[in-house]
Amino acid sequence: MDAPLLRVERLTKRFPIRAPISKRVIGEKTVLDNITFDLPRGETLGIVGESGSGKSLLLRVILGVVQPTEGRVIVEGREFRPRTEDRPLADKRAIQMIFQDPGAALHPRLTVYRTLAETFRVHGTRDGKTVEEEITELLELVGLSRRLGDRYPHQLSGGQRQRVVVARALAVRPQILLCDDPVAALDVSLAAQVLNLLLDLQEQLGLSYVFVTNNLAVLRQIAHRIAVMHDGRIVELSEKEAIYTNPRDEYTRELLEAAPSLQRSLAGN
Amino acid sequence: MSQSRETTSAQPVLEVRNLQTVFPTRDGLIRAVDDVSFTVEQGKTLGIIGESGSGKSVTARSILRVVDRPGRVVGGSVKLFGRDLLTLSEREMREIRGRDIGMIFQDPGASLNPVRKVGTQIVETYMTHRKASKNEARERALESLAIAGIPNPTEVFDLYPVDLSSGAKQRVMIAMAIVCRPALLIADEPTTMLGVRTQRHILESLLKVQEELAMAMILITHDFGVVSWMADEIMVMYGGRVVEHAPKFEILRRPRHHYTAGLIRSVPLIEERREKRLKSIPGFPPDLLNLPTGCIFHPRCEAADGLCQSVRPELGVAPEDPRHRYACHHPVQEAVLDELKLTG
Repeated sequence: MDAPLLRVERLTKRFPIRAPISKRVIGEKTVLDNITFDLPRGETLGIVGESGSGKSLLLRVILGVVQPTEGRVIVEGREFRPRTEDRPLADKRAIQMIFQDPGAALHPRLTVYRTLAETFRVHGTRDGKTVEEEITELLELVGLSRRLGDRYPHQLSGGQRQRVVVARALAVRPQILLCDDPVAALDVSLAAQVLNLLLDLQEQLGLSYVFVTNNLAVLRQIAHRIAVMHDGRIVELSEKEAIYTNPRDEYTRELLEAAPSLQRSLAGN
Repeated sequence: MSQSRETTSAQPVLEVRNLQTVFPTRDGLIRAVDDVSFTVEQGKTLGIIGESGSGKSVTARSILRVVDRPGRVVGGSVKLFGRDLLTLSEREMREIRGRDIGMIFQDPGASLNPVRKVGTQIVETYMTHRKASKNEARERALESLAIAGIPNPTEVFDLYPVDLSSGAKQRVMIAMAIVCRPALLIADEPTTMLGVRTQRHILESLLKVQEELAMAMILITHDFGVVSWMADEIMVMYGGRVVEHAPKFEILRRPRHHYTAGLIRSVPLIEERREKRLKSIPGFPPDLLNLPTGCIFHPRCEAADGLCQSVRPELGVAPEDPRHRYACHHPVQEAVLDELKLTG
């Protein structure tokens, strides 16, 4: 069998606990505990958990902006260490991330066009393409009209901003997109648009997603497999349908029961 | 207890008529709440659902007369047991807030004083509105904490907000909102910032509180799941206007406005759907400074024609059900729920 596109191997992150005044280390807190999973090409792994479960931190460790205490991230059979200085830039592009609050992720004083142009200035364009051509293509890919290129983030709706964030992440042609609850801050009608966009892009470009959220309903739309995280550990990892129809872990059942459900409401709870 | 309460069981607790709230801006006038009418009865919950900019929160703030400047209420009436709140002095209004109408907002942390014990803050709220001894106020505060689902009220009474989890903070806010036994509770996105399990517990507490105190409640949310669970009636707002309003089951089973139907089709569900993709509503929410003519939903509506572009539809009563109101020239005919693959 081929190596999976992404393999996360025994990732563990501990933070020191320090005494209030002396700042001496008096203990350790394990916030990620032995996280292991594979992500095949073109698939979505959903990670569900409540705040404090470590799910967002996990994405940051995979991305390489937080160093793990133990464990490795492997992309196409090679260890992914984007912070290593002598790595060619190309290797760092394999994984990109999009965020919950697209307003905070964009520079307020840069137009959409300049935001995207900046990415190409750092990473360069593909052979024979001008920045102009690249940007036009990207905007089309995420369903934004070229006219919006001259707008500033505050002149865009939340859904449009999230599309810009997706466009910027895709500018470097990543294989893996880490999604930190990208629809949580969006209104219902716009959230559906962004979810559908992510599904379309996956089909077109063969992207793989790690999609983190506290909303099991969102994962039913977008995930292939689902990992349930609680207190820094994966307590259950299954095919999507199994999570909803036959949850094995008590915590998974609690999450499912707590989720608002149209069907249960119609049945009078 | 407000004096009028026992004598008026047949009268709605709150009756809002033709409410108009505007925000004058440099670029023009924003009609944040445009001709909104509804009533809420004792023991019932009205859920107001809408996206950002729909006017749902401004409606709540208009009822309480706490609209942020430069916004102001310019028309209509807000009658609490028949008494129009819009004609009261600010001083009279201060007595109403917290005593007759309780409020809970999205961020409980921002509404609590960080350097005072939570019990003291509830006691103060009570003593602002009621002539009572400190001991009596303390008793009422402890009782309210218990009703709000705090398992150990006497311990929590002496804690500071920083000692509490976000769920416990929201329970303290509920306790504070109900300590004077208001006739109406307004909850604006009360669980939006909480985790799913905490959300479930807080919403369950709210239902229990409401039942125990026979309060009327207005629940404002953007979450279809929450509103379909909690509310007796659902009112859908879009661009400052009410587009549809009906008892919960009617609006879920048979939405007549295309926006409502679009919301139901586009909300991710815990249940499996027949369609693999969500059917999203095309386009973007309206620019409040530059609203479309006629029906403001027409640019996003598949059923729109020339009539919709030129004539604003009235919010009319459905011929088949007098409790169902909608503003649409070409109401939805199909049963939207049949498109969902709901099991069981």
